[in-house]
Amino acid sequence: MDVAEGTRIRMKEAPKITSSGVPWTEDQVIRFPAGLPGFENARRFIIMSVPEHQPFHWMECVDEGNTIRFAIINPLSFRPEYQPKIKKEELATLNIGNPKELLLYVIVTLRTPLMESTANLMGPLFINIREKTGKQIIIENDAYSLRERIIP
Amino acid sequence: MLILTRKVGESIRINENICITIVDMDGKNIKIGIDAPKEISIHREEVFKRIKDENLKAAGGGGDLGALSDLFKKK
Repeated sequence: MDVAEGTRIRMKEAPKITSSGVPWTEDQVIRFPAGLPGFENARRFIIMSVPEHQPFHWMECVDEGNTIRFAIINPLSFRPEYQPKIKKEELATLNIGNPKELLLYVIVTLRTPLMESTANLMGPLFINIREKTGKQIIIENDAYSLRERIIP
Repeated sequence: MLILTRKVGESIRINENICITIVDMDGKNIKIGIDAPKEISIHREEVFKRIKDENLKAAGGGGDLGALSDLFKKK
């Protein structure tokens, strides 16, 4: 094969399917370098948005052999005043230069009955969409609840 | 577990870049200062554990998100 140096060879990528049956590609992957508390080995996730599920999304792990997924929601969609205090150093680890690069979610715990489902406002997920990296940041003060009712 | 005895003002170094200092002692309360690189997360154990337990509970992956979405829109 005669290929000039530096030429990118495009390999045809086989479609990948998450453990819940959703096709995904590498460019969707958001890396959590430290995993999440309780799931330190879960490093790569994709966020799936289904119109019928709005404003909720699934964040599903695509690491081999890891089938966990979380329901997530933008906390501002039910708590518009939500403004957790984050240490500068914590955000620095995500290389957020511009607030527009930041995506904010919280993890939802689905409960029975569903009406009583809660969101974890103490451990929000910060995602840098430019670098596609994320981190669950723990809010140490008592300003926000670990189990905040989503539907009052 | 490694157990060391320290006086107020004394420190413990972990690797080259983490230093834990006993800053003050007042009865049962001990004030600790920690110098560590910014990428190291430091939390009170009980707070970390609450987040971890809630993550474990949330990670089931089951549940009808469509139904929850309907309830959310109706509220």
